Amino acid sequence: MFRVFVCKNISKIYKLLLIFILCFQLCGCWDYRDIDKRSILISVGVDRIENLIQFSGEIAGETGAEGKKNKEVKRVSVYPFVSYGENFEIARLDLINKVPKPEFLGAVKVVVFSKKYAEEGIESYLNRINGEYDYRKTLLAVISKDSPKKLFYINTNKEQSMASLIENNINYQTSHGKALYTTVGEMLSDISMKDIGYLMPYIGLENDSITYLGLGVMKDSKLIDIIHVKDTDGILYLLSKNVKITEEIPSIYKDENLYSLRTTVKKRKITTNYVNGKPVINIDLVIYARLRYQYYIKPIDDKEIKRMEDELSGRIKKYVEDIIYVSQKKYKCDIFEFAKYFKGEYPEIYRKIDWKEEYTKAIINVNVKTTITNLNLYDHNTKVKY
Amino acid sequence: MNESLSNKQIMFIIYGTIVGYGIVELPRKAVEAAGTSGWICILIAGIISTFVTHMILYLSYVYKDKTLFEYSNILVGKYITYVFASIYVIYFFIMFTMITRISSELIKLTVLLETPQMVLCIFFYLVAYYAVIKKIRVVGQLNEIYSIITICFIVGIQITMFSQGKSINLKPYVVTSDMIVYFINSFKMIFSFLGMEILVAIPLTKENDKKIFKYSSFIIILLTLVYIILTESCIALMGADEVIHYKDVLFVAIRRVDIQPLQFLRRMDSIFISAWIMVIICSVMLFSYGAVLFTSKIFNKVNYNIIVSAIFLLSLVFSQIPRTVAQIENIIDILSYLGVVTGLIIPLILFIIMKVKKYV
Amino acid sequence: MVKNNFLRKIQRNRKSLDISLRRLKIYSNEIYITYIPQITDKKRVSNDIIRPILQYGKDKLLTIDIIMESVIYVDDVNKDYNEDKIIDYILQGKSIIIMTYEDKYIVCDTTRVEKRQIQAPILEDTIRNPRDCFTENMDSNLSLIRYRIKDENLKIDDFTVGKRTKTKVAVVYIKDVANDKYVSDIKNRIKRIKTDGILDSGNIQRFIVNNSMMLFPEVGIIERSDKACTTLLDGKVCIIVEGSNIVLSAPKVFSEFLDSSDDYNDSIYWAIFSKFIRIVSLLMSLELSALYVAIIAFHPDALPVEFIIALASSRETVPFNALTEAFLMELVAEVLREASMRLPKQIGTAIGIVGTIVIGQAAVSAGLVSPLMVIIVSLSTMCSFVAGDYTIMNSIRILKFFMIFITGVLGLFGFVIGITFIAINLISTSSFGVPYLAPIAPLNFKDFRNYFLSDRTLAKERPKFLKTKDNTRQ
Repeated sequence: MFRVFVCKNISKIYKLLLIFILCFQLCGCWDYRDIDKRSILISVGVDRIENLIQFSGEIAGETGAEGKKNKEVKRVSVYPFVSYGENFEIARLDLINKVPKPEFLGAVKVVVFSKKYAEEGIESYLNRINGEYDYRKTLLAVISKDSPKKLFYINTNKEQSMASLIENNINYQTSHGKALYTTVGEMLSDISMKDIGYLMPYIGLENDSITYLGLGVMKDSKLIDIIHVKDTDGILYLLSKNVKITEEIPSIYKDENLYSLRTTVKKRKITTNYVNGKPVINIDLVIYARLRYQYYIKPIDDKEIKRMEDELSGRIKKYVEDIIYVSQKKYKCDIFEFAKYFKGEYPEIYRKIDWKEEYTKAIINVNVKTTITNLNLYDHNTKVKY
Repeated sequence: MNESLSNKQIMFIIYGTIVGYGIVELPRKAVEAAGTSGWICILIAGIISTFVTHMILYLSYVYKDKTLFEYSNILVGKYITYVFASIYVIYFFIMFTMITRISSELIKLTVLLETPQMVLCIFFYLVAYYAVIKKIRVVGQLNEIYSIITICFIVGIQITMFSQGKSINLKPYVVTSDMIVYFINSFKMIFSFLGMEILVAIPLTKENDKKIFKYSSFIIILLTLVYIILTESCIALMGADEVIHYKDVLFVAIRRVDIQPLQFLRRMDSIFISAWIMVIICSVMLFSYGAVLFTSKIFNKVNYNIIVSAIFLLSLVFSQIPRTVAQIENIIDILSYLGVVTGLIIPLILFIIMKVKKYV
Repeated sequence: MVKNNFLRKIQRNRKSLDISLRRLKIYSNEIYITYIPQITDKKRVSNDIIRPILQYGKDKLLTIDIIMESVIYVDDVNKDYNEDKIIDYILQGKSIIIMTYEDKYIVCDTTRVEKRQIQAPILEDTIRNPRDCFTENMDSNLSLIRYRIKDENLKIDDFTVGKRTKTKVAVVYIKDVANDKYVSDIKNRIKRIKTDGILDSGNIQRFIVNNSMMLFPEVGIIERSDKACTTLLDGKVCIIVEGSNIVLSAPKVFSEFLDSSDDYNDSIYWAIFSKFIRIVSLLMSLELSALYVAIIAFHPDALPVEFIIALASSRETVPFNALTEAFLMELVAEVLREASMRLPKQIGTAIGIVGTIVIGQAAVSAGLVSPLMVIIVSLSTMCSFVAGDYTIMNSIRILKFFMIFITGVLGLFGFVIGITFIAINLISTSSFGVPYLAPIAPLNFKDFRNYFLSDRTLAKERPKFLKTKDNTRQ
């Protein structure tokens, strides 16, 4: 009897149930929050002031005023914030008390660590970035000579955020092979490997503009040294994806003439070996160079080209060897990811040795072969034939 | 249930059930098992699943128009068939309940942080219910469309991810001294390859000819390749040492990619999550269909629609029983063993009996 | 003296039905001609019936058979014995010739109704194809089909539907191509219609589909005669209803709603491109507003940083949340569309401009909606006009609101769930037994390829899902 009733009215029962469920579901849009009802953080800076953690940064959007639209396209303005706390959580609570809307971290472009904080160790903050779902793991992390708060507050140009300035600067430098762009994701992978260190861009304010000053060496996620931008050539030849370094070579005539050559790494091959209980790292670089111009036009023959090539090879080899030597003896840290190459070729030996120790004793062989591919379509040896 | 499926639809059903929740954790399991040589474990597991699928399909091919319920009736008799059918019902039931629950948990943890996971479960069930109530033709066709879309998305995204990674992270490819370890550990990859047991619920008709075996091998090889690309791209992006720490490593890896030239498609994780939700819907739908089918065979006097409603309501209740994610994971681990029984042991028994009967 | 049963029946209904009765006396014969003047060609009656009878021969013998075979000039004549049908014939516009003392009568087709000239199509305007479209007169419609398909297998089966309107319905198909199952199915459904009146093909459509609560149309509409002939050659059935200028075609699958005859005429690359554009437009019309809500409210980090900031700044002054904004703007767009259909032509364009300016521009300036929302709504409205057969887009427009709603509750997850619901609905729909999403589901590469290439020279066989009797075209 009941079964018959149910069968006959089954569609009505379904509809009632569906409406009931849906009403129950739709009584709250739990995650609904419009983007304009959130405080969009564009950059975050971390510093240690006395024994407090200092968070600073920029928020995009309201200028605090009425926000009336004018007729032209409105450019976004930013305003800075700062908050303090004994640890990250309390500093975040302080931030929440200060901003008018819930914070949104998905738009953060840059994380700036102060030099002081970086020397203490940034691993905890990197783990925080990793754990928060909102934070993008592709954001740029840099170390700043000046305090991040100063960077963000000194930005008088409210139309362009400090985050964009930093990011564009590093981006531009990296695309021209003059710097390294390290994302938080890459740093997290390097930390998990435990045997290697990594490098971070080091910036500062010079003449009121953001300048790329060099690379910071991170061992165990602590800043141990800064390599000045002038000395980063060796690192760039080893690590950069898009090397385009300009070298000036004095001419054979030993006058003020200089050859300006633009080098690119055509091929970079790193192989490893294990001989007599010591790891051997062989680095083969094939460099293509292009003569951009001479300071003063003088004829160039094949011998001169060969001389330039040898001179370049020698120079690049010295850069590379020097920086590796420094990393072995001074830093005692593998910042060039040689451990990955060694692990790839000798995994059983890698498991048995302590790479941190072995690296300092490793034998490095650098082999550079330079070819000058073109003289920029300029014939330096023209003689009039009539 | 008299409607038949074409060869291609059966092929995509294999894909739909095997690729489910497992792909999220697959790279981690592979790297845990064998480091950067995890692809060997996946390959071995793939080869084993090809044989298992062939065996199940052969049984269905010989006994045309019959599901396992009917042909095991012929082979082993009524009572053991009821035992088998009950095992399958329990297995499929717990499988689709737990997949729904753990997917809801994952979505809650990653994308929709405040929404209660029960709401997400209810919506999964609503969709699966709507599909299952329309019987196998709709289930098969929806699965076909979604599988093609998700294969394209997943492979495309993985290849772009691959291009952002570092190839040095992938070495060493093989460590010869560890080969035995790889072989033993490849059994840990079982959960990621479970799913072909749904074929016991799909009858083959005279439309499905010998080509079905070719198609099934093709799809499992494709699957294995997809899995290998998945694993390798995660390792290339994150390094083997980091991959083992994340239970949702695939999502973590996607969020580490930012491809500038793609303009507003730079951040691909939303596309990937949508594709993954489609995959989960297919899985849930197929497993719930299996549970419903066997239940309706056991209680063959009850109306099909009532069985569907009952199963889904029960599943909703059961899905709320585990309190923590750890409990769900334990259940899934036990389920993998049950999967071996349903996917390998029971069909193997029936296969052997069939062969013996043929010779006798 | 009236001795005839037929005459008695006519006399009873004469006043109420306004029947005209003309009495002719030749020698000793009494001949009566009855008709309803409003629907009869009076000139034909006098020239082709009355004159020849009167001129026949005053002394010759006249019987019904002689009149029918040797006297009157009318081409379509037949005789009948049934006195119950006589009023029906008269109501259909035929003239009846009755002779006293005869037990049969002649039915002459002298119908004349006011009809439109054949004009250019309104719904299915085209660039290169023929533009003669159907009118309300069944004979003209059938003539348009007959002169295009000169096959002896072209079958036209007539039915009469509607108790009071007795509307003629013709089912047209090619006998050795169309699958008998669909043909008999459609014919049975038409026969089963029991209603007062059928005035338009749309009324028939509701009766013959499986489930009139279904969201998607199972039957297509055709306005142009060349398109009707194409569908007949494909193996389908056309249903022509007297008094309606729209012809129905069944079975029809989802992909065919997006077809346009222009694709078959131009270059193959253009055909592929335009098909692709139409599919993308359909998806955009359905999903764009929902995606907007999903991204603004749930997943802003799907976009790069500059986009996020631009979006946020464009929505600063908007008082509503994105869900309400999207819902209201789409509603306004639908109201505008509905209103512009009913407006007389003279003020139609003006109101259209006013509507756009008022709604779009002013709302943005007042800060009620964001400019991006206006762009999205206009884009999605434009995209809904791309389908070749507009009836499919009505369903899409309704589903759009459903998608906005479910995305507004659950974000991207809700979006995927909504798409899945729609997909399941589409898959489970079948048009007279043909799966609605063929050739995608079940997947058939050949049909799929032929659909995209839209090239008659490459499509050597008819689509497989129609299960036609004769598969080959070439």
